[in-house]
This record gives sequence, structure tokens and C-alpha cells, in this order.
Amino acid sequence: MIRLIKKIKSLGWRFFGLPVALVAFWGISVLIMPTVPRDAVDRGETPRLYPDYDGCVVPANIAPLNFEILETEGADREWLVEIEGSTGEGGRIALRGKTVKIPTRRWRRLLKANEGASIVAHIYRQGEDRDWKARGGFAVEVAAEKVDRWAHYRLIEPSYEYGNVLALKSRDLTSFDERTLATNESFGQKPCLNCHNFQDRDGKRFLFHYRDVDFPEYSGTVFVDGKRVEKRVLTASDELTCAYPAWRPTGPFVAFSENKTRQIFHTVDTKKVDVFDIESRLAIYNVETGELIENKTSKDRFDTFPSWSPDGEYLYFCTATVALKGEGDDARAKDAQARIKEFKYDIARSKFDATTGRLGAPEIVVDAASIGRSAIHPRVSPDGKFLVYTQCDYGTFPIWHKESDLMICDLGTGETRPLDALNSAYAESYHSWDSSGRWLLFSSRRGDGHFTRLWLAHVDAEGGAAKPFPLPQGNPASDRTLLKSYNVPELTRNRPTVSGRKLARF
Amino acid sequence: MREKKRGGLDDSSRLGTLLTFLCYWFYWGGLYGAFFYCAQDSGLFFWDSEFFWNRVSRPGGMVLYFASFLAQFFYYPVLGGAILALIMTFIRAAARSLFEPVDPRRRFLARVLAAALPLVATVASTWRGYSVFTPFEPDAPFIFPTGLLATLLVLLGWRKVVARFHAATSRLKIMIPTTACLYPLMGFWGVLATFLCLFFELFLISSIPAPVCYQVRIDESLMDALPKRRKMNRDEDDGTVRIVPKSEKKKKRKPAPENAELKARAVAGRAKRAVARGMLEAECLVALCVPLGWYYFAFYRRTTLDSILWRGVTEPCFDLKDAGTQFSWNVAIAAVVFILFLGIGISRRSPVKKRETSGFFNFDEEDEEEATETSAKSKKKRAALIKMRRIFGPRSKATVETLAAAIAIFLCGYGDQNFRILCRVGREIERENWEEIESICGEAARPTGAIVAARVLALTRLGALQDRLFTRPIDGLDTTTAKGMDESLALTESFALYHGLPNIAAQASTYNLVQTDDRNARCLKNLSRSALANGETQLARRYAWTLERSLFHRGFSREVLRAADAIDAGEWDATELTRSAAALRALRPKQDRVASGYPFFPLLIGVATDDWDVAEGRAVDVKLSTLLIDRDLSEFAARLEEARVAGKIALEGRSAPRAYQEALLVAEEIGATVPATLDAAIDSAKREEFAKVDFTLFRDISPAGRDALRERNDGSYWYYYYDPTTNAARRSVRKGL
Repeated sequence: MIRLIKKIKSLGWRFFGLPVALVAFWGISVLIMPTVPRDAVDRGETPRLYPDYDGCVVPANIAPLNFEILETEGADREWLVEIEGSTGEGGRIALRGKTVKIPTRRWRRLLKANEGASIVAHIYRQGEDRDWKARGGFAVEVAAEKVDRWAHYRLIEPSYEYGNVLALKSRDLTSFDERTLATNESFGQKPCLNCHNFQDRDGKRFLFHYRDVDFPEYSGTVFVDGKRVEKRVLTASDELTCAYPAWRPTGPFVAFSENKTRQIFHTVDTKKVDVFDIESRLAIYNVETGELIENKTSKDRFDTFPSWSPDGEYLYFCTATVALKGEGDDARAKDAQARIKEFKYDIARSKFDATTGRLGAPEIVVDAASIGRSAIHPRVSPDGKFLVYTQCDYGTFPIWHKESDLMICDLGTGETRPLDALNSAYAESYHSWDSSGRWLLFSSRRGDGHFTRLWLAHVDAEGGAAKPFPLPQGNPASDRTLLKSYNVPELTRNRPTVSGRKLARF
Repeated sequence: MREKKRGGLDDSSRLGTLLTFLCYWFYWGGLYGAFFYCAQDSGLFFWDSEFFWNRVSRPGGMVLYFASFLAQFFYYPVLGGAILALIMTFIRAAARSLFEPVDPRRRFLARVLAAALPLVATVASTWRGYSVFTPFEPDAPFIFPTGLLATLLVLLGWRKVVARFHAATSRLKIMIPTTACLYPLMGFWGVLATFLCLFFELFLISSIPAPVCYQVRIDESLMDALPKRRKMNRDEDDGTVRIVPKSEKKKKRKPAPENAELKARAVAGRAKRAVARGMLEAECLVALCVPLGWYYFAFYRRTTLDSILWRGVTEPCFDLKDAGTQFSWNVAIAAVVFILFLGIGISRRSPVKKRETSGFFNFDEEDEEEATETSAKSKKKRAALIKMRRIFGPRSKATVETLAAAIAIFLCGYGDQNFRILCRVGREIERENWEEIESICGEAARPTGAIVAARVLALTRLGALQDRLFTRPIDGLDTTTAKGMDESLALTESFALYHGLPNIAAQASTYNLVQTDDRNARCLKNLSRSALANGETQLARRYAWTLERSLFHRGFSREVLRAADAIDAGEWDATELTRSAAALRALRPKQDRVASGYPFFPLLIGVATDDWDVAEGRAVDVKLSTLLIDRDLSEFAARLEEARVAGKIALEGRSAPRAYQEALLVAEEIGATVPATLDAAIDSAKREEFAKVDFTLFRDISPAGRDALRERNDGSYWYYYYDPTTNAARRSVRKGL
């Protein structure tokens, strides 16, 4: 024995140091691991939690649902959360503290074992008498369907007159990995960076604009195909600008709306900002030939926000007819500003002829104007059965309209109804289907009416929506303090392969 | 005998250090406390990793981070001032220890430079001036002192390196990785440090003697008599002297070689040849290019264009010319320091003859005489030096040096009175101390538009616009109120907020906020107030949560949280903040207005002045005052009558406000139409006063005549009306209102 010890000593700690340290670390971890109180008394009071996940349906591949206990009482160590699956499989996760950050690997194991079942979180608090009291908790249902892994969005200031750092981000929904695809800092003079769009939810093919009115050389549209990046300057006639894009699911066509946009600011209203067009129309851009086919119509007709049907046969868009008075942009802008509440958009669609690249005659799909409302952001589900759109009182800028709600239209029957489970007292606006058609990512201002956050909701085969939940964050407090809005969320199956550095060269 | 060596901090150094500290403390914490309070309000320091990485992920990130850390302490200007004064003292000490050993004959220059460098840092920080109200980089005032200290510390480190490695190639090996590390950490300051190292290499290294250690062995009995710190003395000229007892066993050190002098000459010769071959130039080129290339291509690809650290150095004072500053002391001081710096290095470029090797030489007492033998010429010089030292003793030198610094600080600090006034006004607006604001604005000899705007706001809030508007400083106005508002977005926020336009205040605040990475405490506070006034309690909470992360702003954030809870419960009278929100809510315009483009100022003016049909309370006063400024007295009289009839102004049975009475009298004098019903609103005393005015005097527009008139008619509307100097200003002031 002595010889063995001497031998170990002769080999030194270099050889045995690491294993011994690992064993010691494991032992200490086991010792300090929180113990779950089996005999806890239920006081029947559920603490305030942020976010509120109770009753949500979550995808089987979602990132850990980290959350905060917002109670001021008790120190961190006095709170304990135990998370387990309803099947009893996948193990248990016990965590101390008011900020609950669930280990990703263990969460994934739990999710996998409980697909189609539910996951329950029990919350306990140790009282002054050192006894544990159960303090309620929450349960989420784990859907069998997985959501598209990548979400892309822009982080912007909620004030539209000045942007400092605008960032186009890609977020892995299965973890907290967030990558910066592009920032306006990358483009030299901090131009505006906007309106990204992906072809058929493919992260490898997308486009976005950047523009700087003071530096035209810092303006253009960036087309990305795999690792190939190309900047193009799309020139529309009559001083219009190619704005909102929609890349056709198949073929080399991108539908743009060409707009002349103005913005105004309210003094009293909680709407605060309104954006409106004084002219807008549709155009089809052929990526291969570089040809821009403009769908010129009367100046009184305003067509905007194009969106393709899943098969690319139809182009859906918003359309309104307002006869603005006066000649010249300033006069039209003044008139539009005064009559902004007369802008009521319907949703129409036109058949697309891929051989000529031209649009057919429009047909109204959702007649919102007839009920005094405005229908914006049409998005057809991947199975082609449903159309989800945003409905507000007027105009094309629903994000500042508290009354904005998400609506669903059954394209088979033409019946429309509000998605009550998703709507709140604040604005619900931009939305995006995932490729399975079971998940809808949408933006909402339900937190405070000012800063937009992203919410994910399950939509069943009949178009019924479950209670939504906000995108989980690594630090659950970060959403509460982030003074930026999420903008134009889009889901894709895969992530862009182009590097941010390559994009920055433009 | 060897000259008595000095070591550690002598009395003069202590006195100088203390005085330096006190001077800068007085300056940063006292004179300019309000400015630095505003600066810290424009930036928040958070103790979290996100904030840390956000700062560190750009060149000079550590300097930025440390500057942000320091900035927060200016919430209490006395505390912040003490910290910055300490940094200034360190800068001085570092500069002294860096330059003093250079050459005794240039020591005076070195000392002046050491005293001037903290001044430069002060100047550069003050350069940011008005930018605290339109901040792009709120920590900029604190970056310069921090960066300068870091640079000097690097140079001190470099001195040590030079002392250790005489071979240029050795230094090259060290310089490359050092600089590569310095640039990400210190940014511009890293590059500056490298350039200064180059400066040292080219001009000063040959004159810096290597530290040669001498061991002096003396009797045991004498050792006790020596003070403790004298046992290890240091002399800048000759190296270090260690005094040890004779009984101590001799350490095995390299014995003093007999041919030490020859060897030293050989080493110095090699160094000179290296310079001649351009080794050092190549060394510095590589040291700059390699890390920059590495940094750009491999690591920090996105921020190499970021000139953030240059701003504090290069930007002039925002309104230096128009703010009443007669002479740019800032530029003058910087220029003097630059000349001094060059003076140390270049004016005496000839290298010191001997470059000694490092080593450890042992001397016994008996050897001293031999070791200190010098030529007659050097003895003569040394005697002269000692004589000079006696005349300008260390204490008097330190005092003169510090006094010079203090005078320079004073001049620098008081060069721009308007700037200090604006800073104080900004602070008082936050406290809603309107009387004080009016009083502070009245101190301005030549007010800027922003000061006039602040005064108008204060008078409006006090409901005294009609009584005091035409007292100074509105006459003699040399810039426009509108311009003043543009200059100071902080004022725009306040104007909008206190005119009952929370949405516009929020827009202005957001505009400011996004320029400071969402770290502007003032904006967050104003946004919270706007949200509370709009009843958007959850939004107010969000801003409060952000403020909660900061160390010194938690008091306000908790007030907001309490106020939000109270408003949710419908208790608008619960706290001071809720009462203020309720007052702002009551002031909101009755109908929504919209404006395009940048809405702050035009919209603010429009709402405050244009809508007669819906104008009430303060808006009526503002409108009437605008007409007075515009000297449209017929319109004024008609609108006043209209307001009286509509019950917007109560004139029945009592006199009108002072300016209104005076304006009506002038209107009668010039034959404008004044409704008879308004006659009763004019006091008989006022009529008598007006009758005594000799208007022929107003034709005299000489400065002396104007002063006499002002003294006699100060604050009266007729003085404003007839004074020709106000002609140019009136239209712009009207715009401003």
C-alpha cells in the first residue's frame, strides 16, 4: 500500500489531478443539488411568473422555457422549482432561485420523453419555519409537431424617425443561439436596414434592403443565394421605391410593392406614429434577367404587402382606393395625412403568369373595407387552407394600432373569424407560418403597448389556435428590459449559410 | 562625497500631490459638478455581462468600460470629483516618474509637462461641453483621463522594458504582442502609447541611463542612525544605491568589472548602430501593422471604423464661438503641452555620452571618493544646479507648479459661463425648481437661445410669462430660441413634457436614447414620466426596470414602480410622481394633432401657439406673449379681448399682468386699435410711469445710452418695443416660442 502511495506520489498530481478534481466536483454537485420536498404543504397561491406559460402548447423542439418568479418575498435560495413530465419519463429537473434557467440537455431529454403529453413545473418556497410550501406552478402541453428551427427578425427602436443600430438577427428556436446576420453598422454610414424575405422558408435564399437617403451609394437590395451575395439597385419609375418583398416559392420571381411612404406623429393618441403611402403599386422582379415588370394602375389605387400562395399561382396583396386631392407629392401627402382614416384596405389576389411575369385581374378575398376595417399582412398557410391577416381600423401600419388583431380566413368557405386565443388588448401584427403549418410566429405588443415581442402559437388542422407563448430567452429578464422591438419575424427550416462578414462587405 | 540621494515622495512631492488633488477635486466636483452630473445622467453603467461584452467588443473597450464605471459616481459630484481628481493626481505622478529621470537639465520642462497633462485631460473632457445635451457617447468626458492614465502606465511599463532589454530586437519582440493586446483593450490610446514608445525610442532612450545598482557598505553603528527609507535610495541620475551594513555577507553579484566604462560605451555604440540601420523604425512599423492587421481581419472585424475614442480628442466645444467664450483656453493649453512635450524630446536631441550597462556594483566606504570623482566641468555644473535648487526650493516649486495648474483650471472652467449655466439649468429642470432656473438664466451676460428657451419654460411653469418675459435676458439675445431648442434635445424633452405633450417628449427622448445604446438615464426618466402621463403603466415599469439595473438611479425607478401601481389602482394622488403625471395629463391638448418629419419642435410650437380655438391656460399666455415679441400690438389687443370675453383670461375687476398693461399703453401711444373694455385693465400707477418715459432717448443707440436706458426701464415692454437692438432677435424668438 505504502509502495502504491509512493508510486502515485512519484507520478504526481499531473496524472491523477484531473480525475480526482472531477470526482470531487461531482461529489460536491450531488451534495449541493436541491432536494425536492415531498411533504410540502400546498398553500394554493401561485406566484407571479414571467412569462406565463401555463396552458400553452409548445413544440417538441423548443428551447428551455426559462422564467422568472416575480415575487419580492424571500431570498433566491428560498425558492425551488421542480420540472417533470406527465409520463414520468425524461427525468426531473430541480432548480433553486427566482430566475429559473433550465439546462438545455436535460430539457431536451424531458421534451423528447413527453411528446404529445405535458410538462409540469412545481414551485416551492421555504418559509421561515424552514418547511417547504408548495406554491403552485404551471403545465405546458408538448405538441408532437416540431417548429421550423430558425426565426429571423430585425431588432429596431420603436421610434421610426431615427435608428442607431439596426440588426437583422437569426435565432435558433431550439436553443438560445442568436446570430447577427447583418447590422446597419456593417454598411458604413448606418443606413436603414429593412424588409428581409426568404424564398419558401429556405434560410439560404433571401433578400433585404438597405438604404441611406443621404448616401445613395449606401443603398441597394442584397440578394443571397447560399454563399453567393449580390447587391442590386432596383429602380422603379415615378420616383417610387421597391419596398415590401415576397419571393415566389418557386422560380426566379420576387414580388415587390413600390411605395412612396410618409410618416406622421400623434400628439395625444397612444398610436403615436402612423405610416401611410401616397402612392403604391405592385411589381414583379425577375432575379435571373433583372427585369422589373411594374403593375401600373391608377394613382388612386393603393396596392401593397404582396404575399404568395404556397404553390406560387396567386399573389395576395392589400388594396385600397382613395382619391387623393392635389398635384405633387406634398399636396397628396397633406391630403393623405388629413384623410388617413379613409385608407381601408381589402385583401385581394391576382393570378400570376410565370411565362410573362405579369399579374392577372385582382379578385377580392377579404372585403374588410365594407365593414369599415383594414386588412393587412396576408399570409396563406402552407397547406393553402387558411389565410391569416391583421385587421385594424385603418391604414397599413397596424403595429401602432391597439385594436389590431389577427384574423383567419378559411379559403375554402370564405369565412373569417378572429383568432381570439392569440389576440390581446394591444396590437398583434406581423406573422409567419412555419413549413408544417402548425405553428404561427407573430409579433405582439401585449407586454406594454410599446415594445414588440415575438409569440409562438400552435394552430390545429381546423384553424383553431392554442394559447401562445413568448419566445423563450436564455435570461428571462432580458425581454423585460430590452428597449428594442422585434420586427418582421420570419421562420425558416434552415439557417443562412452566408457569413455576417461576407454580408458586411456590401 | 556622493551627492545626497533622494528617494520616495519628498515633502515637495507630497505638497504638490495634495494641492493637485485638491485643485482637481474643486474643479470636477465643484465648479463643473453640474456638467458632470448631466454627463453621468446621459449614460448608465450596468453590472452585467451583457454590458461588459458590449463595451469590450470594440477597440478600446476596457477604457470605455472603465470610463463608464467612473461616470456613474458623478451622481454625487463630490464623490465623482474625488475619484477623477485622484486619477489626475496619478497622471501627474506617472508623468513625473516618466520624464524626470530623463536629464536633470530638462527636469523643469518635465515637471511642467507633468503638471500640464492632467490639464489636457481636463480640457479634453470639458471639450465635450454642450454635447452632454446631445450625447452620442455619454462617457466621452471620462474617456480622456482614463485613457491618458492608461497610456502613461503603459509608457512606464515600457521604461521598465527598456531598462531590461538593451537590444532593439528584444524590445521589438516585446512590443509586437504588447501593442496587439493594447489596441483591443485601449483602442486609440493603445496606438498613442505605441507612438509614444516610438518617440521614446527615437529621442529619449539614449538619454535614459540604465539603472545601475550600487551597494554601499558602511559601519554597523552608522546603519542605526539612518532613517529606514534611506537604506534603499534612488537617484534618477545614477541608478539605485543600496546601503548595507558591512557585516552583511556579500551576495554573489556580478563584481564591478574593471572595464565597465568600456563595456558601457560598446553597448551604447551598438544601440546607436541599430538606430542607424533603421531597426527601430522597422520595429515600430511592424508593431503597429501586425496587431492592427490581426485585429481587423481576425477578431474585431466590425468596429475598426469606430472612431468613438477620437471624439473626445478632436471635437471642439459644441458652441464655443456663440456661447460667449472669448478665447479658447482649451486649445491654448493643449498647444503649450504639445510644445513642452516636443521640447523634452527634440530640443536636446544630442544623446547623453555614456550609456551604462545594468549590473550590480559593490562599493565600500573607502571606494566612494574614487567612485564620485568627476571632472571639474561637471562639478561646476552640479554646483550651479544645487544653487538653483536652493533658490527655487522644492516647496516653492511645487506651489508654483500647482498654482499655475489651478489658474489654468480656473480659466478653463470659467471660460464658458453659458455652458455652466446650461448644465445647472438641466439639473434644476429635473428637480422642477423653476424659480431657481429663472434665477440661473438671469446670470447669463450673453445668453444663448437654449438659455432663453429654458427661461421661457421656467416662466411658463411659474405662470409668470406675462410679468417677467421682457426682463433680461430676452433682450440682447444673440441666438434664437429655436436654435437653442435644437441645440439642447434635453430642453426639447422638457419643453414637450412640461407643455403637456408626453408623446412628443417621448419621441425626443427616444431620439436621444437610441444614440446612447439605451443608457440615457435622463431619457429613461422622461420616458417614464411620459408613459405615466399617458396612463401606460406597464411601459413606465419597463423603463424603470432598465433604470433599476443602474446603481444610483434605483430611487427613481422604485418611485416609478410605486407610481405605476398607484395609477393602476386609480390613485392619481398617491405619490409626487403620480400627481405630476396627473398634472401633465390635464395639460394635454384636447385634440390630437399630427406632424410629419421630425416633429419635436414645429409641433411643440404649433400646439403651444396656434390653436386659438382650443388653446387654454398657458397656451393662451404663450400665444399672447408671442404677439408681443412680434410687436403686433393690434392683433395682441384683439386677441386679449377675445380671450377676456371667452373667459380664458380673467381681467374683470383687476389689473392685467405687467407686460399686457405696458403693451396696451404702447399700443395706445402708437395709435393701434385697443378695445375700450381693456382700459380698465391698466393701473393708474403704470400710466403715470409710462407718461414719464422720455422716448427721445431711445434714438440714442450708443452702448452707454442703451445701458442708461436699460437701467431706467429694465424689464418693461416699452423698453423692449423701442429698443432697436431687439429687432433682429424678435422674429427668431417668435419662432422659438
